[in-house]
Amino acid sequence: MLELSKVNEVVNKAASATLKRQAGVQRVFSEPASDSEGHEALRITIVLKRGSADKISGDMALDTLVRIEKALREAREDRFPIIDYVTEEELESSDDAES
Amino acid sequence: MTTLNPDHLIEQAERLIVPPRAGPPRQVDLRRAISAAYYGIFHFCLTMAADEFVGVTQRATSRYTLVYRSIDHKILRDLCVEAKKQTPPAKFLPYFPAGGFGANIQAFSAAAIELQEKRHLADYNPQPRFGTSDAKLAVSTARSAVRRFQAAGEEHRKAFLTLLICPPR
Repeated sequence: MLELSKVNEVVNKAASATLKRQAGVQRVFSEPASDSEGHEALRITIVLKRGSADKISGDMALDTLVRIEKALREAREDRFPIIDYVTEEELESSDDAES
Repeated sequence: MTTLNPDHLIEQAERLIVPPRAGPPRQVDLRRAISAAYYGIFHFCLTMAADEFVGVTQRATSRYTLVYRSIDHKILRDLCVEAKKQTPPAKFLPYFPAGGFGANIQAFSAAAIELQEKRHLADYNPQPRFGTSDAKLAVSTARSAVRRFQAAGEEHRKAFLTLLICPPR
């Protein structure tokens, strides 16, 4: 089981390799979580640069998921990663009221 | 009988993530989009399996329904967990393609599990706040995953669907 800082490093490297500059991975943060079956998991958030979500295709997102899982496995991290994406502007507006 | 079209679930998800004319997106729309994206994959599997083992011309029959409904979320998850592995556990080994499932089925399996988890959060956990980007990428991942499954070799697709209907004991 890796330290969360190491998880962030591994995920950042894997995601950046697939998403490259057009999506611009700004940073990654993670927290321990449980999956739907109660097993230990990781809730991993990948922060993208402004306006970049539209530049990521489904194939790119899927390849990124596969690459992240592989990188974590190779780093001997067994917890299941649940990946979330958020852009910088979404983070900034996260206090906006909404229904 | 008109069967559920899995592609329509993904189209529904795409409609739900279109930004509103004013104000922030509704959480309920983003959550339903993520849920529909997963269900698009889930029903795609059920349709492929029932078409394979009962037949596309038999969709109106009770046999078709019986096979369609024999697969639940856990069966799909358990198979996808194994399908992602290069070397399956012994009980799966005789039924896997030589050398394991290829990159297409492995990617499909990764997406199915990931979206199942996100669907669970979106449908049942009131705490997470979902963003448009996350929902959008979940939906596009679902569409890409279906394409990857369709692009896999026939032997691999048939092996996957057989294991879905008949999980080894």
